[in-house]
Amino acid sequence: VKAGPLVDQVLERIRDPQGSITSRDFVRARISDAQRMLNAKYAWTLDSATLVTEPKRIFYPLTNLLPEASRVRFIQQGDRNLVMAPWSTWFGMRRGWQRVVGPAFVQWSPVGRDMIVLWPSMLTSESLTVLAARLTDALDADDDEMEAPDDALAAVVDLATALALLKARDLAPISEALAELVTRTKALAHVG
Amino acid sequence: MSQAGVLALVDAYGFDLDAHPQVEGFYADLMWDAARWGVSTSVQLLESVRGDGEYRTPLDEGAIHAIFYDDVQLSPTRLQSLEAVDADWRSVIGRPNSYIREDQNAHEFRVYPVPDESSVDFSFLFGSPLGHDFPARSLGIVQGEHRDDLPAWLDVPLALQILAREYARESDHRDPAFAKACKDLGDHLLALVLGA
Repeated sequence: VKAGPLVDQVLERIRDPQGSITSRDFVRARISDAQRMLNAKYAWTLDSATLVTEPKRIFYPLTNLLPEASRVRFIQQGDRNLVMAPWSTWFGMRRGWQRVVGPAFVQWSPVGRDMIVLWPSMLTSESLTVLAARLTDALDADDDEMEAPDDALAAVVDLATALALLKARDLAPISEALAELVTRTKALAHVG
Repeated sequence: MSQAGVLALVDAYGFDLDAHPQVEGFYADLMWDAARWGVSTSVQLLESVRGDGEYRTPLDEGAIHAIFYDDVQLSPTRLQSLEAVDADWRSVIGRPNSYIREDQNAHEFRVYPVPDESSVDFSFLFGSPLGHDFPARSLGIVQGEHRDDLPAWLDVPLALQILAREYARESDHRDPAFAKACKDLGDHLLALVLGA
């Protein structure tokens, strides 16, 4: 699906089909923003990077590895996925969890948005594959392809519509658009 | 990275940045908020000193997520619990197993018991302070970190928060209804992108 028809759809919804008050470029940029934010949440398109671990080390910042990634989804050692388990619970498992050394990484957890922790540590350096939600490309032209899946495009349009209404200072329909967006984004958890 | 992107977006919503440069101050405020949201985190090492129970976090920002001493994660504990066990708990010496923040200044904490040994020197022969070179008996602190820039997927929520603050304040362009709409949508988007 190309961006152009979605721009038309948003302009229709804000009752400015010619884009005379709100320009096509502004609307396309908001569709681009909407796609980025929703991908940050639902991770429909992923980026991957290789993380080379250090012996006995468990905390790894991702700022340089995946600077624009928003949400790590999977970490793989070879063809095996590590299990995601919130690190706040590891303390209950074993108080000295951070010094446990094992033959392979078993669990991982995000620490904030730009760091991960692996467990247990290993005595050797390993290469892991980190898969994270990528920052989708900016939509610079109506011919640019959307990256969100087709069944998520309605949510992208809803969000872009709310942002365009704000620009037009058309405030009354925004709360309605917001309510629609909440319903739609709840349903999106199953898309992908 | 996003400061330019956020301010360009504020500008795109019709706000004249050149006439109101104070808007950049709102961006700076939001960067401090973001340190509390847990967007950016770091692990910092701190030397422990024999007989000294009070420490200050290496960074003056962000929430403390966890504190480690040597090979154990310290339990956060309450003043009331320690007082109930031993009124002289501050002078107990041993291997720290918990920490307390209640009667401390901001960004300070006290470990319990007070360390009976100092940490070894911070020298990182392998260049891996959090791995091979982790200094024995030192403190490791996982805490929020302040950044001047955040990733681009936060541009819109941040720009809406800035617009909300600018249009809510007393000025010749004050617009409470627009400010509320920006705030509502900005809050929703922040919850969307940062939520579990």
